[in-house]
Amino acid sequence: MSSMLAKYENFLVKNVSTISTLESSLRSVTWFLPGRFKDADLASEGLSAILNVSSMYHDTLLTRVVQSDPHWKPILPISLHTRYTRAWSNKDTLYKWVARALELIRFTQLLVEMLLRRRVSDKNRWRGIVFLETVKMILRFTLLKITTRPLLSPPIPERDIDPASLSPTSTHTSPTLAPTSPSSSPPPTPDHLKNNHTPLQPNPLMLTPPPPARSDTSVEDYLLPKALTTSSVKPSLLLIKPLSSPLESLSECIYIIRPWLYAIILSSKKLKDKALVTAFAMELISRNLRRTPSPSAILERDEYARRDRDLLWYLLRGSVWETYTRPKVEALVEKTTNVPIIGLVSSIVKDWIPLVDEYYYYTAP
Amino acid sequence: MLDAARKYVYDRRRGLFETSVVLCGAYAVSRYVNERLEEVKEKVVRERAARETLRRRFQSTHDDACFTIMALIPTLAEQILEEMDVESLTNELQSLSRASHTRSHVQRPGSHSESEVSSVSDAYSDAGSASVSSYSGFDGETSSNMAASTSSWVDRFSTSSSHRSPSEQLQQPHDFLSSAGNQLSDSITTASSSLSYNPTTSSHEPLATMSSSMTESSTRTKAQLWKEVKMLTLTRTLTTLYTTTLLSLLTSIQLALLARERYLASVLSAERAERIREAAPTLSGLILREAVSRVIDVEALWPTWCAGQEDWDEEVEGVSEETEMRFLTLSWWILHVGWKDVAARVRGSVEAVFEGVSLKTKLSPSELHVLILDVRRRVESDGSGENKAGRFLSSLLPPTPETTAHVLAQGGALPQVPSEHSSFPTSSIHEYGDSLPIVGPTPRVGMFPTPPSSIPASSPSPPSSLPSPNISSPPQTSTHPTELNDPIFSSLLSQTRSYLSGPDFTYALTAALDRATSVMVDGLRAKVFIDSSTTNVREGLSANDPIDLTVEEEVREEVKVRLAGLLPGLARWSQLALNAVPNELVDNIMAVRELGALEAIVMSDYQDRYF
Repeated sequence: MSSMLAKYENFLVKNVSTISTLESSLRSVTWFLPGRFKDADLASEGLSAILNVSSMYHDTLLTRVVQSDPHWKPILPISLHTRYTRAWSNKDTLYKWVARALELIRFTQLLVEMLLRRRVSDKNRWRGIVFLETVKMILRFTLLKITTRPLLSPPIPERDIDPASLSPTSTHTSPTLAPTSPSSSPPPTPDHLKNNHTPLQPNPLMLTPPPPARSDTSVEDYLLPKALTTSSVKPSLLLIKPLSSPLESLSECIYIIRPWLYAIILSSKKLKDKALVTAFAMELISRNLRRTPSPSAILERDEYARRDRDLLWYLLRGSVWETYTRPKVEALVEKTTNVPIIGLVSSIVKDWIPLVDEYYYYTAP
Repeated sequence: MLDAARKYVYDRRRGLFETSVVLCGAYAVSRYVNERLEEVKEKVVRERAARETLRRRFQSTHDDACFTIMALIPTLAEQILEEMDVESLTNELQSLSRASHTRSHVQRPGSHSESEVSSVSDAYSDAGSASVSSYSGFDGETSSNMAASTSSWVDRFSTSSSHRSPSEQLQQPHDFLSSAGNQLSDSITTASSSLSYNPTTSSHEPLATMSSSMTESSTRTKAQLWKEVKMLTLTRTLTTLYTTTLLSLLTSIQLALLARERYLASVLSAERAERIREAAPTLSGLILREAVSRVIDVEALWPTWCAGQEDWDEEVEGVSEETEMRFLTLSWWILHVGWKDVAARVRGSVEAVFEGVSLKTKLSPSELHVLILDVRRRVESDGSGENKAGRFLSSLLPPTPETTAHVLAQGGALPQVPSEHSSFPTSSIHEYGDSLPIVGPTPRVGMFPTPPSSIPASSPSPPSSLPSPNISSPPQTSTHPTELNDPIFSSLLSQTRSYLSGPDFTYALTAALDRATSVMVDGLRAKVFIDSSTTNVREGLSANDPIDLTVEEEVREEVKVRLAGLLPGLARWSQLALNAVPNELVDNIMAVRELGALEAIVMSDYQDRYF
C-alpha cells in the first residue's frame, strides 16, 4: 500500500503540469453537466468533489515536494493568506487536520446531500444536513480556540505553486526515470553536483540587454517590485491579530453559529422565512460587533470583505429567491436565450435554477 | 387623516418595502465599494512608499560605495606606486642615458644620423631636459639594441626569474632587478661580453661608452632597464585596472549586503512599531473590557485573551556597528595582500603577451586594445578556465579563517584584544581612520606584513617579511575564536564569498573590466595618440611633457605610436587612475549597468526570508 502511494506520489510529481491541466479542464466540464442527462447533476457534483479532494491531496504533496527542495523559489510572492494558513498548519497539527477536515466537508457536502436525497427520506436528509453543519460548527470552534483569531476561509493554503515551475527540475534531475519506473522516490541529483557540469546562469537581469533609451531603468525595475512592506516581514502568525475583546469574540462566535442555526430552523419545514431572517440578523450583528481592522491588517480586511460579499447569497435563499430573484433571473434567461454568446450562459443558468431550488448546499451560508 | 396616511402606506407597502430594500442594498453596496477602493488606495500608497524607500536606499548605497572606494583607493595607490616604481626606474634610466649623453656629446659628430629617426626627442635630449632625455635616450639609442638583443636577455631574465615565484618578483622588484642586473653586469662589464651582447648592432653609441656607463651605474644594462620599464609600466597599468575594478565590485557587494541587512532591520522595526502602535488598546476598548470583566471573569473563561502576546517581543536583529566595521575591514585583504596576487598574475600575462612586442613596434589604439584584451584573456581564463571570478576569490577575500583573523587584526577591527596594540608597531596604526569615514579604522600599513605566497592556506604563518618582531601567533590565536563567535559576521562573509563566486559576479566583473579597459584605451587615445598637428603646437608650450614628444609625425587615420612612446602615457594614466580626484576610472566602473544590477541582486536577495 505504501509503495503504491509512493509510486503515485512519484508519478504525480513527474507529471504535475499534465495533472493540473487535466484538473482544470475537468473542472470546466462540471459546469456544463447539470441538466444534460438524468442524474447529470450527481455526476457533475461527484466529479467536482473528487477533483477538489484530489487536488487538495495533491496540494499537500506538492507542498511537501517544494519544502524538501531548498532551491525552489516562488515566482510570484507567496500570498499572505497562504503564509498565514501555512504557518498555522505547520505550527499546530490539530489545526492542520481540523482545517483539512473542514475543507473536505465543504467539498463533499453537496454530493452527500444529493446522495441523501436519492436514498433517504426528506426528514433524514435534513438530519444529515444538520449533522454536517454541527460537525462543521464544532470544527470551526476548534479552529477558533486554537488560533483565537477570526477564521479565514479557506483555512488551508490555496494552491499557489505553479506546477510548471516545478516540472523542469524534476524532469532534469532524473531524465531516465519514466513515471512507470519501479524504483520509488529516487534520490535526485543534487543541484550543486549538476552545477559542476553546466555553469550557472547569471541572473536574467544581467543578461537583459540595456534598452536603447538613455535612462536605463531595468535595474530599478528589477529591484523595486521586491520592496518590502511591513506586512511582508510580519511574522506569519501575527498577520491577523488575536481577538482581544469579548465583543470581537462574540461576533466571531455568532458568525460560526449562524449557518448551524439556519440549517436547524430550516429543517423544520414551516419556518423558512424565520430561518432566513434569523441568519441575516445574525450576520448583521456579527458584522457590527466585529472590530475594525487596522490599515495594516490586510488579510483580515480581505476576509471581512469576503464576508460582506457573501451577503449577496441571501438573494438566492429562501423566500427572497422564490419571490424576488428567481422571477428576475428567469425573465432574464428568457430574454437572452437567443443572443449568441450570452445565450450559452443563460442556458447553463437555466439548468442550474432547479438545482438551487432543490438543494440546500447550493446556497448554504 | 392618520387613517388615510396608514391606508396610503398600507396600499403601497410592497412598493415601499422594495424601495427601502433597494435603497439599503444600494447604500451597502456603495459602502462596500468605497471600502474596497479605500483599501486599494492605501495599498498603492504603501507599496509606493516601500518602493521609494528601497530606491533611496539603493541609491545611497551606490553613492556610499563610490565614496568608500575613493577612500580606499589611496591605500592601494600608495602601494602600487611604491612597489611598481616605474618613475624611479625611469629616473635611473635617465641618469644612465644622461651619463651616456655627456659622453656621447664629446663624440657626437658621427652619431647625428641617428637623430633623423627621432629628431625631436634628440633635440630635446640635447637640450638636456631631464624627463625628456630618458625617453629620447631610449628612442635614439637603446631601442635598436633592444630589437636586436631581445631574445638573449629575455632568456636570461626568464631563467633568472624561473626559480622565483612571481609574487616575490613583484614584491621586491628592485631587489630582483638589482640581483639580475648584478648577474648580468658581471658578464657585461667585460668588453667581450658587451660585444656579444650587441652583436649586430649598428649602435651609434660607442661600445665603450655603453659599457662604461654600465659600470658607472654598476647594475644593469639599458636594455634591461627598458625591458623592465616596459613590463612594469604595462603591469602597473593593468594591475591598476584590475585592482580598481575588483575593489569596486567587492566594496559594492559588501555595502549592498550591509544595506540589505539595514533595510531589513528598518522594515522589521517599522513593522514592530506598527504592531505596538496597533496593539495599544483604544480607550473605549479598555472601558468595555473593564466593564465586562466586572460582570464575568474573562480570564477564567478565556485565558488566551490576555495571553495573545506571547511572541511579540522578539528582537529586531540588525548587524551591529562593530560587525559592520569588521566586515568592511575585509577589504584590507585586497588592499594589502590580494592586489599583489592580482599583480603577479597580470605580470605573468603581460610578459607572455608583450614579450614579442618590441618597444619599437608601432601600435594604433585598436592594436593596443587587442593586445590588452589578450592579456586580459590570459589573466582571467588561464588554468581550469570557465569560472573567472573564482580565480579572483582568493585575492578578494582572505581564504582561511586564520587569514581572516589576521586581516581583522591588521585592519584594527579587533579592539577587544588588549595585546594587539602593544604588539603592533605604532607606525602601522598611526594613520587610523584618516579619510576612511565609512570603513573606520583601517590603517594604511605601509609595509606589507604578509606576502601572499608566504601564507599557506593551511597554517597561520606569522608574517615573515616584517622587520619588527612584533607580530607573532598570539593575536591570531586569540582573535580566531572571536571571529568564529560572531555568527552574523561569518554569515556575511560566507554570503560575500558565494556572491563573489557566483555567475552574476563573473558577468559584472567582465562588464566592468570591459568598461575599464575602454576607459583606459580612450584615455590613451585622447592623450597619447594625438596627431602631430596638435603636438607641434604643444611641443613648444610643454616641452617637459614626454607624451607629446613621442608622438609620431605622420598624420593618419589612426595615429600609431611606438610601444616605447606609449609607456610614459600608460605610466601617467595609471598614476592618474589611482590618484586623480574625481577618479574617472572609478566613476566609470561604478556607472557600469551590470554593477548596478549586481548591487540590486545582492540587495534584494532576501527572498528566501521574506515574501
